[in-house]
Amino acid sequence: MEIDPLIKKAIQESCVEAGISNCSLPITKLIERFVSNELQPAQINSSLQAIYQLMKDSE
Amino acid sequence: MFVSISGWETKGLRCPDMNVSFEKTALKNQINLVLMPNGTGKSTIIELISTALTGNTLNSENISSFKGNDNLEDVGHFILHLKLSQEKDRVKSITFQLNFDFISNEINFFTKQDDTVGLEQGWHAPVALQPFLNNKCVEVFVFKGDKVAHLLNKERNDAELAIKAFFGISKIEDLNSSIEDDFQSRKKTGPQTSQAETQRKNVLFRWYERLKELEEQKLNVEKYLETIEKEHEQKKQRYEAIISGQKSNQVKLTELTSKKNKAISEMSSASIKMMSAIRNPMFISDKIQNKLLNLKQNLDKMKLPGTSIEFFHELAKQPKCICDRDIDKNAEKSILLNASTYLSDDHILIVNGIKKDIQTYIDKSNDQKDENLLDALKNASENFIQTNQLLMRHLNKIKDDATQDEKVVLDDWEMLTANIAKARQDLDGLLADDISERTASSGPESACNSVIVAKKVIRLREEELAEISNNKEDFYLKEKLKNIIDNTITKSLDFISDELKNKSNEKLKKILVRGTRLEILSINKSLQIGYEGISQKDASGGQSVSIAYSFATSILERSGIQFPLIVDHPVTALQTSARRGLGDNLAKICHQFIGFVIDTEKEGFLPALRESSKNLNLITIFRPIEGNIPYLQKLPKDSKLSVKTSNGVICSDYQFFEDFTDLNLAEGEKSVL
Repeated sequence: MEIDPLIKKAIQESCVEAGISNCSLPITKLIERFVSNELQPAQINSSLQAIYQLMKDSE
Repeated sequence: MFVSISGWETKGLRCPDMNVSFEKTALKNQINLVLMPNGTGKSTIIELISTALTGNTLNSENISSFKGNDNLEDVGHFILHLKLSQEKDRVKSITFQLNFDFISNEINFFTKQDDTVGLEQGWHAPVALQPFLNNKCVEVFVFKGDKVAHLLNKERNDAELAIKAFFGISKIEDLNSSIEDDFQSRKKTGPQTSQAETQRKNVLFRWYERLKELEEQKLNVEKYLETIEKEHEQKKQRYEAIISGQKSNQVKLTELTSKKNKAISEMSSASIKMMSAIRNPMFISDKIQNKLLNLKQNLDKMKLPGTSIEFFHELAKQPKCICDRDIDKNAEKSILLNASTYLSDDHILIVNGIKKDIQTYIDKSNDQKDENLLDALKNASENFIQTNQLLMRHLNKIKDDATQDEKVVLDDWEMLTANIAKARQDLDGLLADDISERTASSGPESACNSVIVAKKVIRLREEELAEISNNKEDFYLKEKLKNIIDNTITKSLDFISDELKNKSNEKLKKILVRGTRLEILSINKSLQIGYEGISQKDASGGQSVSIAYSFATSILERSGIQFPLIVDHPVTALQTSARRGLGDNLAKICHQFIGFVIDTEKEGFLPALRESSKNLNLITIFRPIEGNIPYLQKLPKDSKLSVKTSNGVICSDYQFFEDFTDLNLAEGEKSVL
């Protein structure tokens, strides 16, 4: 299920404010799949690891 | 996508057996009024529709209560027919069937995905609808009890919950728990830990356990509150009927209740001011104030050095002094030794801070003393006690004037009201944020009684643990991501609330009488109303209903799935003119409306609906009891317009609907069919 465009805007702004604008897309995808119950715990883990790596790269 | 209810069937339940169809007219912009005298089963049907839409079974006690009094078998069923349509697509049918087994007190769900296939065991909603077919979302478009008042009640957060449910924000909130679980699971696989780390982990573990206990308590209180609030709503009509039956007592009760509410609000404001004041010790005791003033005066007299200890430490490292003399080892040693008699920069800051704080708090406490806070609190408390006593005395008088049966209802109502107040107080305590995490963390975890404080302590303890373990980087990344999610939730709510406010106000303009100075100012937990930035506390019954419908239909429109608006007693609280206004515009704000009404709700509402709606269905459902014989005789001769079942009559004739007046006969009278 695609999330509401206003939620996407909120994610984007939150990422920019946190100084990790490059994480906006993967976080949007994570939220989208999480809200649709598409993710198993292992998949949540791998998605989070990818996001953490991107966050580290931004610092 | 448009979701419409095309009809329902019931058998063996707490309402007449019936087969109701709305397919007589086009389903779009369709208005349906179902007239059922009190006691015929309006609430039962609404409850069944909600259960069929969510697929959530009821508890066994509830299931048994659905059995019809005249049902000699141990089974019953409810079938809900839906039509799903998109602009260009064909219309799809879906049917949910609930088979009641009153021996095992179970409901078995069945689903029929299309007219071409048979019933399939289980509840299987189409994928596109699944995110919306849960209790919280269904509550947005199924209006029961005091739903309208709840949306506008500043002490409740129904409007925010509706937005969270419909836009998936409640689910996003759960993501933070998953991020936390992921962090915990990775921590467990880390390397060997030191003794200090083990000790901290043990403390943290005890806090996790405490948080689990508190969250369980919170869940139990919330469930209990939901149950008793539902019961309260169900009994409200009976209670109000008793009160309105005692005309002179009713006026005084309204007056005293309003006085009591005012007294509570004054007492609350005085106690907040007092609580803030007693945190300042100088407010409590003049002795403390004088001693601290004395300390400040002494500190003022104390001459703080122009240079600090840091200056001499740096000087000792230089090859030459500022007077150009060489600084050898002996001179360095001597400077460092004498430097210890000077204050450091930090110490100077602390002393200056103490002086400043003493002055600030003395000024503040003088202001607070000038306000006579203690007197204000005392007066407010006395006023509350007096008003409450008057109200209690009056309630006892109402009881004295009531019949024995009415007394039972009044006692029950009183007990429920007190239980609700107590449960709300317990919930407030569990969600209090009244103590700092450092203070709470220094005491035993069992002394912490707030979920919020426990969470903050855990965050603090985790941070400390991360500092001494090798999880520091992971911890900060996790916290940063959780903050982003929290920020996203806050921003999403702001953006969506703002858009919904505008959409609702556009609809409101269509419904309210032209020139009415009322709009939704903001959506902050509840719907905040007023006009041009100036807030307004209350709205009339008609205005409140218009605001609530506009808000609910705006959510449905915005979410892309337009569900029907199903309302129990849609216009009971409305004056004739307001009913007319709503009737004129209902078809413009929702694509399907199903209102369950009693005969007195027709006035004003029905003529307006007749004029404004092309697709109007008027259905009358009543029990064929002795007192209803006049109506049985008036049923239309055209057999297509009325159907008789063993315990009910369902008539779709407009004239019959218009002429029907409830004779207020007791349920359970012998059927004459």
